[in-house]
Amino acid sequence: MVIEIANVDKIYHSEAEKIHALKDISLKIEEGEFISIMGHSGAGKTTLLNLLGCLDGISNGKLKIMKKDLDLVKKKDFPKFRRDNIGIIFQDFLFVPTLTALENVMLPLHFKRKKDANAEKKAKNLLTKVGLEKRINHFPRELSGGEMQRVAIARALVNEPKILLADEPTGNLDTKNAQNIFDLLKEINAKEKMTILVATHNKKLGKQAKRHIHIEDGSIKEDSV
Amino acid sequence: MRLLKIAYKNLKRKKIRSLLTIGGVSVAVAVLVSLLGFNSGYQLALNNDVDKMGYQVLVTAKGCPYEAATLMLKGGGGMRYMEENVYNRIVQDERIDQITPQLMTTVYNAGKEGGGGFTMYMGILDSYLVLKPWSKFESGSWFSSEDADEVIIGYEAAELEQREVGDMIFIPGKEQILKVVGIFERTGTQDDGVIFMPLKSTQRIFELPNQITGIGIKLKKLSDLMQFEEDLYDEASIQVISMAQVKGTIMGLISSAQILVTSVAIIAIFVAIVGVINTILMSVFERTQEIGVMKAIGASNLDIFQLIWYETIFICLIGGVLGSVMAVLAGNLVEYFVKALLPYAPAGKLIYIDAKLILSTQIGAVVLGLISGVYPAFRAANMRPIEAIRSGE
Repeated sequence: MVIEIANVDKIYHSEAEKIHALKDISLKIEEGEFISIMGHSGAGKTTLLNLLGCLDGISNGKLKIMKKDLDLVKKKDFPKFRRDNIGIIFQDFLFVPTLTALENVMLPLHFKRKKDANAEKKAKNLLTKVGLEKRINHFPRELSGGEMQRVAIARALVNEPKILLADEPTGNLDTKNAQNIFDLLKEINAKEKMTILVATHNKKLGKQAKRHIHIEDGSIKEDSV
Repeated sequence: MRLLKIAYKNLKRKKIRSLLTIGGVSVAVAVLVSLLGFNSGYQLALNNDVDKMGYQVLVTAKGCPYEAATLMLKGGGGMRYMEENVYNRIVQDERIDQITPQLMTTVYNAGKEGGGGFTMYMGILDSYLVLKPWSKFESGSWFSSEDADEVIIGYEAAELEQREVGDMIFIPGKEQILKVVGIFERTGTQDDGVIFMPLKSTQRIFELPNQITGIGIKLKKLSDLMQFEEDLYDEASIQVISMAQVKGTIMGLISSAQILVTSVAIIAIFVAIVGVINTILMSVFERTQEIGVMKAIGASNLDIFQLIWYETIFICLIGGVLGSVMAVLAGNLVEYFVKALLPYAPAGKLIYIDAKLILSTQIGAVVLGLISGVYPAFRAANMRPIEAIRSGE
């Protein structure tokens, strides 16, 4: 079991109200699964991924990743925990604009204190794998949406994570590019046996995953294979 | 890839803003380097001036002792005179190693380069050279007699007057023509601008019979100085000035000016720190989402803290280097203004900027960067990744 979620709530407190973003979520995810998390905007898909990415904390319940109870992980240890276990892909790509594609992919390795030569070799291999070997020295502004998302995938994979979280990775792409990116994720899942969770509101793409979780108003409405 | 490289690239992102901030730091550093350079330069120049007078004690006619000492150092009109027999009495004292009388006077020369000016004349005896063994002849030799109508010219005065040995010079208002018999080598002191004459000739030409303006004395033992001064208190018409006291008093006068300039430098540094903090803080706020993403992909708080700190250190280090270059290049201009403002400015360079000063200023600039960077770096390091990422939505 790579992810175990038991009766998890996520509540946001604003000045005016209490927002129950996730309600009593329970899930068990095995190694190598490819899961799509579907639902409308505001359903709670991103909130769930943020919790799984250790970017945010749960309000109630239990969350275990790689058999580690996150309640017991110290705050200062989260960056290392993320580096070692989790890769994240964002809808808006979110690159450092002053760095080239290659440098952006090398960045997580730098935070892992990898030697530059090794980091560069690894980052180049990954960019080649996602079909961007001729674009490695281009800056993000010089890349198309599809290319940027490929760079983001390479960046998420560079630390060889056990779990890959993708939040609307095709949200800013046209149909063809969206399918290409989804195919790439499927290929990574098949070859690397990596656990992948993709949040998407695109039903056509979501259905291509091995397991589908449908969230509505913060609760799981459907969990099917 | 290093954090340093990322920090450098971040600064290039907003070039104008970074340059303006670096400019602010440069100005502060330039003021500081000039001030510290002035501090050591002035002291060195003053020490050089006083030491090259060749004596430890100056005896002058009664009056303000420091005014007298300054006039002896700097030259100028308004000297008080005393009887030459004072010299004849003091010279008998066994505690004295060397002694020389001087008669200093100035003449306004309307034809002088730059719209007229004063020329300094000093009547001396051959004992003057004994007290100042570094005064060597570049050409020519000593006066032919104690009452000769001859002059020996200081290096700069000779250059200014365009005179060589064998030429004649004319003293305006005195209708006197004198022959140049020698030119001294450059000493780096006020002596370089003086025209020397035999004491007796000076007394005769300037109609000051048996008058002198000062007596320079070098004692056999410096420890006798206090007693020596006390013994001369009985002489009603004279005063004794220790050159060590003169140094201390002039430095004391200068220190008040230094306090003022130091205050300006401190304000400039404070403004520079605020400028750097403001720039980096703005840059941090603009990059909130980016910082959030870095944390999401594995950057620790320390990584982010270092990154922001490097940016401030870059700004301050570049500002420090540019400021030092500015101080060195503008040194002559600053010196010109300082010399014009100060009541007494010694000869030689007043602003002395050496490698040690530059190095310590660079270290200071880095410390400035470290201090300025703490708050923005702390803010950035403590951002919660999820909130930082959401800030861009």
